[in-house]
Formats: sequence, C-alpha cells, structure tokens
Amino acid sequence: MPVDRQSPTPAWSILRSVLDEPGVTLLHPESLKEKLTLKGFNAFPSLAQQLDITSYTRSTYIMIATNEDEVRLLKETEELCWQLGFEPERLNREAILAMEPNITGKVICGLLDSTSESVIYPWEYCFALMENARENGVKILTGTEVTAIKPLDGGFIVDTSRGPIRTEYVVNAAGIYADKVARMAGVCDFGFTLMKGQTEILDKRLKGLLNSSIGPPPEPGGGGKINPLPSGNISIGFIGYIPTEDKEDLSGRREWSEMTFTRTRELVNGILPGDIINSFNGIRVFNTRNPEDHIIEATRKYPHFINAVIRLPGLAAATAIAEYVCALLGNQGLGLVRKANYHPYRKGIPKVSELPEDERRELIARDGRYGHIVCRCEEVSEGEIVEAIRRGARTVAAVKYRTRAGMGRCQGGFCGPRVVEILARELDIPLTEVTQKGGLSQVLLYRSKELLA
Amino acid sequence: MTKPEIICVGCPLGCRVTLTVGPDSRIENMAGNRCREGEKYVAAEFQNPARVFTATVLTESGDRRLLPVKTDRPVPKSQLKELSRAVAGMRIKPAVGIGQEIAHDILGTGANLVSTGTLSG
Amino acid sequence: MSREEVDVAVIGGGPAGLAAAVKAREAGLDNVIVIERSEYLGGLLDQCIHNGFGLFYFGEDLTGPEYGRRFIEKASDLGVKSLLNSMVVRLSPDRKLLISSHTGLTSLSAKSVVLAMGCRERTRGSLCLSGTRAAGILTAGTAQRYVNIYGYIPGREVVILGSGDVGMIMARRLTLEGATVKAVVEVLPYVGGLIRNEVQCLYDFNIPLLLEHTVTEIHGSERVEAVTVARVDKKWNPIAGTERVITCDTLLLSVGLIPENELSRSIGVELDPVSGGPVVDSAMETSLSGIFAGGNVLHVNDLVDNVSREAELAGASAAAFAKEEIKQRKPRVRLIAGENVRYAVPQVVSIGDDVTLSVRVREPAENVRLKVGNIINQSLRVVKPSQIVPVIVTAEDWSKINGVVYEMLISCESRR
Repeated sequence: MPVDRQSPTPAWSILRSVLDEPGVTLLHPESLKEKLTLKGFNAFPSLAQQLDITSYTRSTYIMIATNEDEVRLLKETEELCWQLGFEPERLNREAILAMEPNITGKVICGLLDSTSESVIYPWEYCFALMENARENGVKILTGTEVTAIKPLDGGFIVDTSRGPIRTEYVVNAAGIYADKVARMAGVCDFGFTLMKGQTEILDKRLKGLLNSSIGPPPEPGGGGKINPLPSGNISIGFIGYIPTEDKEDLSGRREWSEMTFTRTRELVNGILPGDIINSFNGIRVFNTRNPEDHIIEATRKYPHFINAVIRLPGLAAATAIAEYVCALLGNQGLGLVRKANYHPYRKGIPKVSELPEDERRELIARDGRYGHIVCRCEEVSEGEIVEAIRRGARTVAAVKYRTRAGMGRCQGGFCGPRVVEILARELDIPLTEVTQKGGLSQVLLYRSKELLA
Repeated sequence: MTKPEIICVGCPLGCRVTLTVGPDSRIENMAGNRCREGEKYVAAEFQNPARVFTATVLTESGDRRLLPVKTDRPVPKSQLKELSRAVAGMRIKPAVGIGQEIAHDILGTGANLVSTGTLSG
Repeated sequence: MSREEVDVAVIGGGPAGLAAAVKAREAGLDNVIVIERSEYLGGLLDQCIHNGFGLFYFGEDLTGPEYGRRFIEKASDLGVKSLLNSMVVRLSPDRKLLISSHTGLTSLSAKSVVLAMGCRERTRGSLCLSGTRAAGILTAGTAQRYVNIYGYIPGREVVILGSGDVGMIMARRLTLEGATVKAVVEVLPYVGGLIRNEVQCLYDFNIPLLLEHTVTEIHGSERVEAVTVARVDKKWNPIAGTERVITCDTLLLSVGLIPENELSRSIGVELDPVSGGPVVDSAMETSLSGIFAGGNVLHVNDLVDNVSREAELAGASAAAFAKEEIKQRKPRVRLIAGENVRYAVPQVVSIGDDVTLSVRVREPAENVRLKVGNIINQSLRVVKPSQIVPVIVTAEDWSKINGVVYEMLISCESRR
C-alpha cells in the first residue's frame, strides 16, 4: 500500500487511543470509526479557520519507553504501524532529550508522531458549531429533556419537558443516553459498557515545560498521556478504563490523582505537588452490539429514526459523522438542498488577553467592559463575560467554558462572586437563582438574615 | 462545689485552667494557669463572659447591601444569638459614618451598636 | 504611545499597598499611585467585619473595615493617587506597567514598584478531594465575601474543612446568621489558627471540632448532600473504619493561603518556595532592583498589624530608591531555616542594619530558644505555626558577629 509520509493521517493517533482499550487488538480500516475519523481529521484546519476555533493547534507526540517492558510494547506498536502502512520515526534517548529537555533521564527510546497529533478544546468546538448552526437557522433548545417518542404518520411526536414537537425525522445523537432515547422509540438493539476516566489539569506556570504531548506505549486498560494545552496548562491522564455502571457518577478519586501524578513525574521533571489545579472525570461509552465501532444507521423498524451511537474517537470524526448521517437522511427521502445564503464563518468572543495592544485599546474604547478584568488568573474581562451571556450562557459553568473565567489556579475564588453578580444582572434574576450548572446547583441558597427570620 | 474548665486566650499558650468554685459561686482555687495575667483573664471570663458583638445590617441603599456594625463594648456572651436576631430586623438608611450610633443600649446590654463602615447617600 | 511617569507604583490597594503608599508619600514623593483591581480600597479588610485588628499597630481593638478606613483616609489626606477597577496586566523588570480598566489601557513608567497583590486560597481542585463537584463547595474567604459584602448565605448546614482563622471566623459568622455548622474538620492535632478563635468561634457556639480528621469524600449530584470524614494517622492518611457521614449542603474550605505572585513570576523575581513569595532583603527589595514587596504577597501573615509594618518598610524603601538615595552597600547574610523553622522573611539581611524578622515555626513548642546565628538568643514561652514570631535584630546584636559570614542559621530549639 503506497504510503505518503507527508500527508496527515490520524491512523497513528487512532491506533494509540484504541490500543489502550481493554480487549481490542486490531484495527479495521473499513470500519466507520476509521473512515470517518480520517475524513473528519482532515477537515479540521479549514473548519477551525472558518469557525474561529483558536484552540485548534497541530502538535507533535512522542511515545516514550522508560523500561524494558515498555521498549517491547513500543516495538509491538511500531510493527502495528507498519501493518497500517506508515513508519513512525524512531528516536533515541539523545534525540528525545534534545527535543524535550524536561523528560526524565529514564527515557530509553521513543517514536515520534509529527503528523496526526492535534489539540482542540471540545467545548470551544461545540460552541463554535452551535453558534454557527444557530446563525444558519437551527433552533437550539437547551434545558429541554426528551421524555417520550411516539411514531405518527411516518414521522414522530417527540414529547419534551417544554412541550411536544412534531417531526418527520429524528437523529438520536444522545451520547451516553442514546440507549434511553432509542428505547423510547422501541429501536434499541444495543446496550452500553461504560468506562470512567480521570484527567488532572496542571498550573499554567508549567507552560513551555513540554513542547510535545508524550505518553508511554499503549496497553489494554492502561496507557496515558501528558498534553501541553494551548492555554499553557498541561493535562495529565493515566486513568481511562475503570468500569462503571452509573451514568450519573462523575465523581473523582484522590487515589487516581495521586497515581496519575506519580506516573507523570516518572516521565517529566519539574512538576511540583501544588501544580494540580483541578481534575475532571468523564465516561466513555461502548455499545455492546459492536464495541469496536459506531452504530450509525436508519433503524429497520422506523427508517426515519437514525441512531448515531458514537464511541471514541468521536470528536475528530464529528463533521464526517454528520455528513454520513445527512446522506442517510437523504436516502430516507429528506430533501436536502444546499442553502444559497449559508454563512460558513463564525467569530469567537474576543480574548483581550491575546489581542495586540492597539486592538485591545480599540475594543475597550468601543466597550469599556472589555477593559474591566474580572477573572484575574486567566485575564478575562467583563466584556467577554457579558458577550458569553448574550450568546447563550446562563450558568457559571457556561460562562467558564466560553471565556475561561474560573479555569485558573484560584478556580473561581476571586471571579466567582463577580460572575454570579454579572449573570444575575444580565439575566435579571436574583443572585439566589444563579446556578453552577443548571438544575438545583444554585451557588447561593439564602439571602442575608433569611435564616434568622 | 464545681470545677469548671476555662481556656485562657491571653497568650498563645492557651492554658487550660481548672477552677474550684464554692457554693456561693466564689472562685476558691485556680490551677493550670502559668501567669498572673491569665489568672485575671480567667476570673473575669468565669464571672462575666463577654464578647464584642460584630455583625452586618441590611441597608436601604442602592450602593451597598450591608453595613458592618459592632457593639462599642463587650456584651454578655449568652446574648450573642439574641443580638443577631435583633439586628436581622433592622434596616439602615443612608447616610451613616464610622462610629455612628445605630442602636443605644441594645437589648439592655449597656452597649451601643455602632457602625464600622460608611453608608453614603 | 505616551507613557505616564510616576515615582512609586503600588500594585494592590489592600492593607499592604495602602501602608506602602502612605509611607512613600510621607517620604516626600509627589507621584505615588495605588492600582487596585476591585471597586474599592482596603482589600479584604472590608469583608473582615470581626474585631481583633490593630491591637498592636493602633493599640485598639478594631474591626477590619475600621482598620482599613484609617489607612484609606490617611492615603487620601496625603494625596496618594488611586486607580480602582484597574488591573496590572503586564509588568516589566524595568518597571513599566500596563493597566487595564474601563477607560482603556494605561501605560505607566515607575521609578520604583511595590508588589502588594496579596494571596489566594487553596482550592478543592488542588486538594484532590474525592467525590463529586456539586454546587455548595466554596473557599472560606469567598464565602466570607458573599456573607459580609454581597449579603447572601451559601447554605444552612455547613461543614468546614480546615481550622485556620478564616475557617473558624466563618464558623461563628454563619452560626450567627442562622446556619448550622456541623463540624470543623482539622487534619492536625491542634487548630490552625489562634486559640482565641478556637474558644470564641467554636467552643462558644458548641461547634464540634474534629481534630486529626479529614474529609475523604464529597457526596451530592447537583448540590452537596453530605461529606464523609475520617480520622487520620500521623501522616494524614485516613484510617480505614473510622469513616462517618455528615449531612450538609455546604462545604467550606479553609486549608491554606498562597501568595499570589503571577506578576512577580512574569518578571523573573526570585521566589522562595517555602514562603511562597519573593526573596527580599532588609529593605524589602526583591531580587530585581527597584521592585519591592510587602504584605501577604511576600508571605502569609496572621496579623494585619504586621502586614502594615512590613509594607511600610517596603514603601519607605521604594521611596528612597525613587529618590535615588545612595544606600551604603553593606555585606549581606542569607538566612537558612534550621530546627523547627519553616521560613524567615526577609531572607537576606544586611549586616549592621536594624531589621525585624518574621519567623514562622514548623511545630508548636513550649520553652524554646530562638537563635539567629550567634547574634540572637531569645527565650520564648511558646511558639505556634499559626503565629509569626517577630524577631528584632539591632545594630548592637550585629556587633556580636564573628569574622566573615555569608549565611546564618535561624532555629527554634527546645531548651531542655
């Protein structure tokens, strides 16, 4: 198979992530997973540019071995790459340390990936897609839970917490709840295996400690990754496959933080105990019908109901998955006509901390709120927070994800009250109604003296 | 006869002082203190435990929601919660200066409630 | 772009910044400016509505706002300039500042700078507490801001992790505002703050104090519903079988203050990893010429009175630098922390100069000898990690020095 070593291929990065999965040993080039990831991956550069996704950066990855077992695993990985048709560059100890002086002296050898590694903030990606979709006519209803799906005249009545919706087609992209939604329409022929993971975020004082992402050779249930992020923080994750039964349980464990931290320090020098600023958890979902691939299909019972049950890697493949789903909808009779006045561009919220001085002055002159810094750690202005609320943020978490306010080392200790106040002001609600992330997560429960009445 | 224990907070030693108190509530003996100052503090604390009360009061001002206040002298420790409830019902109108009296002889304690902040308007 | 010139730029308008600015003005400099990121001067003093401030500096028992007002008025009377709602976003080693505010970006060039940015609180994230990330988890200082400035109570059933002064003060405050504080949980066998607060905040209100305990897990999906606490061993590891669940809707964290040195780091000031702040000399000057530091940005103080004293020295030194007063270069000594000493500030002292050292010990001890090289030998009845020990070194003490000395050990030894 002819190999073009210059062209980006996500095969290498898919291989790495997949080999960490318990129970997986082979890649399937004809699988939806790989075809769609390849397609989606290659669409990113222009997509990121059109949608102003500033976090998207091409980077490099070095797989490193620090003991004999890992050297052996490295060799096995290398052979799998050859089978796929590409040759990762081998690096010896000196070459690795020349590229990354802060990797520990324990390193023996490594493999370089300079073509298929990239970084993007998932939330920035989602907001960019959402804002662009909304601008092009898509109605987005948040805080709206689907409670029942009833077939009717070839289409469906979708009951929600905000009332029923009559529709011709349904695309089930409900992620970890895709089984629940499919069951509502009686088209669930799969279950889920759930695997919990945890990632720690390190202080951005470590910016520049690493240039590349690094990690040990993959092994089932194990592996890990140390990722320098565009913000200057470093994310570290060595816990990825803890079986869980509870979809709602995103709690973290101290032992996992400690283990991740220890493993990281075996690979990189210069990280101190106080450097973990937060950790977060997620759950990976694998369908039981075909755990190694996505299920993207028009269901047999109701062909206008498309199940899009996605597994990792999902984010890289998202646009390709969307095009695939559109083709399925087209096959099912949905008339798809290219919009003449489609707006492909979206501009993100300006980040004053990254603007050149003169542009920053201009922005502040237009709107003084861009000069008033609210989040000290991430240098986020009131203008950005107000703009985030204008674009749809209703909670402290929403403001955080859109602006980074609260992501710094003080974790919202300073800006938190100010963000709560701004939300209350802009949404014209009492401070006691401002929530952390919706539902019953109010930041403040009582007004002063209310408990003394 | 009772033997209450009082922690002296006069200095960081924090001596745990045991008092021997007679039927007439007189201190007959003190053990555990390591200085004279401590003896005086503990005796006062036993006879009349008092604290300066500090709190906030709701205002009728757009500028600031709360005004910090305090009693201008210690009040009986046993009345602190009662004072909190009394203060909860107050509403202060501007303008108020630091040291200005908010309530005279509050709850019969002999102490005045005074402002420790300013309320402009 | 034109750059405004000032004599002394003070970054931070809390007690340290104000004290430094006042002293700089008193030294006769015309153009002293305080740059403060929040809406008012005084820093955290406004939210510290309790008393206990100024016992040493003024000889009076004041509340935080009253203490702050004294300095704010003095600064105003003296004509100290201030920029509110203004944040220093860029600082250079040659003392150029870029300040962001509603009115735009202001460039300043200062003859000398005083760093007075204060500190931040240790967070749940950095503690790596097991459990959920529900609403209702706050640091004690942030809760204090909500309660005393904004006028809101986070919850009605509270557990407080950490028995530092802020935590104990909030235990009392929340109780008096009608909430129930179910426990104050402390990993050490003694409270982290003053005995006075242990008695007047916890015992006075029958708030359970769980020493040698920690919170091992937080429960609750959208909001905190409970925490698990457990006894710990000498290494702070939870002891299996001692776990107990305490229901609550709020968890406050009072587990440490960290000097906020982002700006200091950005210009390459040498930082002391133990104190968390810049390495300074007897004049409070950092490793960068013309840049001074005072207050909690330098090291976390326990009394604002000491903050004022330290920061005044920084301000006076900054003024002297701005006036280009030639200081006689005296030989300097680096202080090394010895037995039972965590750190001492300033870290570098000039031989012959009067200096007051702020010393923090590691462990509580009674009947100790505090020694500085061979020049100070003070006996102290009791020392506690929660209370800075001020050690005054005079010219007379310096005269005891033998020969050429580059380092001096500072230690706190048991007298036995």
